[in-house]
Amino acid sequence: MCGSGGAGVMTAANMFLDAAAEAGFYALFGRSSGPQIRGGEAAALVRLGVDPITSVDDTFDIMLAIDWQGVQRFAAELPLSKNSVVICDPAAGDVPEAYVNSGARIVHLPMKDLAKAIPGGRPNMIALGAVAALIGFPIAPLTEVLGKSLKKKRADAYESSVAAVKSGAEAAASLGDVKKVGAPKAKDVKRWTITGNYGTGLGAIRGGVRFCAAYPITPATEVLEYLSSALPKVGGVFVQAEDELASVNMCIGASYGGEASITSTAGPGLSLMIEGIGLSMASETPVVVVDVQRVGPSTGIATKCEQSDLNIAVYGLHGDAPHLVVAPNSIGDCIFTTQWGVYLAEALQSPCIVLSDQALGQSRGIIDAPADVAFVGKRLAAVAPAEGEVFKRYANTANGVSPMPVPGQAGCQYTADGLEHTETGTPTSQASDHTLQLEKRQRKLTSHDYGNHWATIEGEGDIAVITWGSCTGAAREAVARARADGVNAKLIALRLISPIQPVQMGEALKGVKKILVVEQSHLGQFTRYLRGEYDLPAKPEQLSRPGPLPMRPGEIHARLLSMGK
Amino acid sequence: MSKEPDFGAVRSSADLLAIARVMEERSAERYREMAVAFEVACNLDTANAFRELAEGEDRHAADFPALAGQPPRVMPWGEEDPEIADPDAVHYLMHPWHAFDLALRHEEKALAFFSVLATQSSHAEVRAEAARLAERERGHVDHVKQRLTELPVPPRDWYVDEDGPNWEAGD
Amino acid sequence: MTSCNIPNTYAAKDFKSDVKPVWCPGCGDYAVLSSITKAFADLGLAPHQTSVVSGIGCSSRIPAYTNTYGFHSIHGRALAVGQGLKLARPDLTVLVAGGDGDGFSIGGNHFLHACRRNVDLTYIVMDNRVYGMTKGQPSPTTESDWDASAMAPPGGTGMTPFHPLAIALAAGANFIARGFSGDPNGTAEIIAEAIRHPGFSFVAIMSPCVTFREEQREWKDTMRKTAIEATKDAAQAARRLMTDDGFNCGVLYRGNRVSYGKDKVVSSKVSDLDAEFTL
Repeated sequence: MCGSGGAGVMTAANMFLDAAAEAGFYALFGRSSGPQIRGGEAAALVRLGVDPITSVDDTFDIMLAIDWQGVQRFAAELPLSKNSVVICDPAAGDVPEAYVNSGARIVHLPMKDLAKAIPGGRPNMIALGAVAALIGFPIAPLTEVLGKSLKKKRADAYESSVAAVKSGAEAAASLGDVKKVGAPKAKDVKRWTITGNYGTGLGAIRGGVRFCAAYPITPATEVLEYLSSALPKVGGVFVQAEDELASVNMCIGASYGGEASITSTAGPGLSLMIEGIGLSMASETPVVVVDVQRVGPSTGIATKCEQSDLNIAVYGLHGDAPHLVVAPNSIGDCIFTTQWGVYLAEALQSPCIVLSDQALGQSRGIIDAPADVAFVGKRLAAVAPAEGEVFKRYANTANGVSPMPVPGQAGCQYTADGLEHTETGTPTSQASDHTLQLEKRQRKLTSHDYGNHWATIEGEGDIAVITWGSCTGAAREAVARARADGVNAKLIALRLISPIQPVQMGEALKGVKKILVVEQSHLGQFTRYLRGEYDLPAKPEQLSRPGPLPMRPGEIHARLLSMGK
Repeated sequence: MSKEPDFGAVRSSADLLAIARVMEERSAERYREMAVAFEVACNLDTANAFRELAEGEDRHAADFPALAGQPPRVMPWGEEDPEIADPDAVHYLMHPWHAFDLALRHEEKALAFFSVLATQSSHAEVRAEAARLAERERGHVDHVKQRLTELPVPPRDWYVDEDGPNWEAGD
Repeated sequence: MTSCNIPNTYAAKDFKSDVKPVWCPGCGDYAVLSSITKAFADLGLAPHQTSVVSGIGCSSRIPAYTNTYGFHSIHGRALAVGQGLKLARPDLTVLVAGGDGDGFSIGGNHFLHACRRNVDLTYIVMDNRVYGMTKGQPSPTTESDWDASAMAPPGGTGMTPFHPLAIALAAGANFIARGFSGDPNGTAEIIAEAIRHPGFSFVAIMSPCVTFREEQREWKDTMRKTAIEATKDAAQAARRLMTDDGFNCGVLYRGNRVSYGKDKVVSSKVSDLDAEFTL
């Protein structure tokens, strides 16, 4: 559904999603808009179904244009086929060439005129009613949602919106047949509706985070939006910092004080935070940094998705600086992976970069309720040494994790330091001290048992699709389609990017003859990472390209079929 | 901030003895800091000189064991303790002779402090005690003067370092 | 903790560690360290409830020389680390310390916003108007015509020196003072008052660099140790700064702004947060 500023497409789409949730459907709702802060063109991209949805589809079945202002800008993001229907207002003028060329059937719905006939009626509500009727979506939940959102504010707005929805639904009868959505299945699990960014915020709090300092940046701002209101409720603190340098270092300070801390940013901010992350790493003061990836380099395309911050996240720190990097692979997984990231950071006293991305972060999904898992960050407590002895903050323990006191604890005073240090924290330039601490810091990461959370692994086959992040949904759907075509593939979506898990990966790739790597990066950063860090049984085929266009299941499916021949 | 010396703060002999002890203790502490600084700067001769001075002040402080009550909240000296060496007055290449020369100046200041008190205090008890302490300081001054005659006088170019500053320690 | 015998009161020396400073003999920072530890002791604080946070530079080495909870962080970010710590742990006494390059050049933006934010901590800048650890480059507070180092351009930088007190006042710091390392007792009193004063307290301490700025040994004679009179009136403080030559010491300004941050109150269980997303 698209239209220019003021047309209310986002409001209509959000109401549609609320109604879908109410009625028991699953859905995925992404958005695309121009660079204007107000006004400008906008498109609400909704996929609806009766089974869980974790990916965009190859094409849209219905494109509903309230007007055509600037909408040609989205042509590449709105793929249509000859099976699609374009519904537009005849008063809006000619259909842009790109949509005509798609071969889609074009029908007219006089949304403006129909709206005018109803006092207070609006074209977006006409559109909503029409779409619902076309796909066989029940009208009752729609009017119920209208009631919830409008009744309290203005009863007349509610009346006119309901009338407009009904008018649209009646008018849809003349628009011909469209693929029906089908009846929702009975809910055996509770459903949630949430965006990835809110999920990230929730996961952080579930993991024990009680401090966040951050600087606004697209597309990470909603993480802060959530935490700024939720953290104070659970006794936490939110600070809007003056920049990303302050953000990450405030978090490190808070963490030193004993509070699990998080900051959230996107590529440009991550670049600024890198030195601080190095301090967190060297001083063993845990901090979680969420990077909601967008198109880079530099300012890039701030509102669109790309998976091209992998290199900086894994390799961006100067010095030999192993640290944690995790990546959620669905909207719901933003909750779990962030929570797990907090848990790992606290347990291993390490920075943890959570590599989310715009497609996960800013899309709203109707999903099965996520499990409430038991990962809550906890540090290894310190015990004061005997009187006269100096506390060893960086003690060379067997698993590399040293006891970490909380300021206020008597007898354990130490100075945290980014300078190389001895076991007591005293600065040193000795080779033996450096080697000892390097090994200790590496050992604590490599000796930890990450369980089966290191990757999402689904299916069996002699082809493995290795992917990560928001590409996972498309890859999952492609694997399912290929299986229906007789080509069996196994999906491996890495959640733990760093440290690597060579033994587990070896297990997962046992019997695999061909590998396809799917990622959203021009340089193929993920492919390079896999080939550089893992001994793969075969040279992988690569399906990688940059944002802003999302990876769609069809192209992966096609590649799997050709690999399966 | 500190003010001009306030001799009125010393009201009794006990006050004065407590103050005298604090002076010696602080002085010892400062010399010990200097000794450490010179050790770190690898100037061990001068480090040893400051350690010797610190130990001397320790002995001076120990002269007042039983009398060490709490000193008055307001110290009678103004901007600085007369017997505390000025940390800015040192140089990393200075010789032991310089350390004792520095100590001499401060012992003389302390002597002057007690001498003034011995004549100007409004309390007879304080005047009498200050006179005794001035006499004692005179002994310290003589001792330091004696040590100065025993130590080699530094050459004129004692401060010359042909190398530039280190940046080894740079963070 | 049973092995630890915690006394009720602590002396200045209890706040010092056994780590030997790397500072040059004669460096003003020794006296500042003494002033800080004396202030802690005079306030009746305990080492384990006190924290000293720094950035990078000669003076930023100071946390390791204390027996408090120290954090020697990265260049320019001490105030960020310190504010984070204080907001997370309002019960601790947090002192942030560093040099003029760390605080006013690479960390200048944090200085401005820390003044504005007014978190209840004390920030001490040991100002020697030079980069010591990297061999004598001009710093933000260096005189514009200073060129006595091989690292300074001939004729000086030509750049106007940063005026920390004026900038602190303009940016909203709640307590502003200048001390001098050559007056450790007076400086200790100022630091103690700065710690007691609510909100962001800024203390610039003139601390000579005897290695790269030998002429600063003369500060002993040029510093006017009690020249500034405190005021609660920011406009009056500003007028006094108009004629300030950088050699006047004392407390300039005591403001009455309310410290940043709210009391932490738990009003929800974590599981209550699910409701927002549950259908």
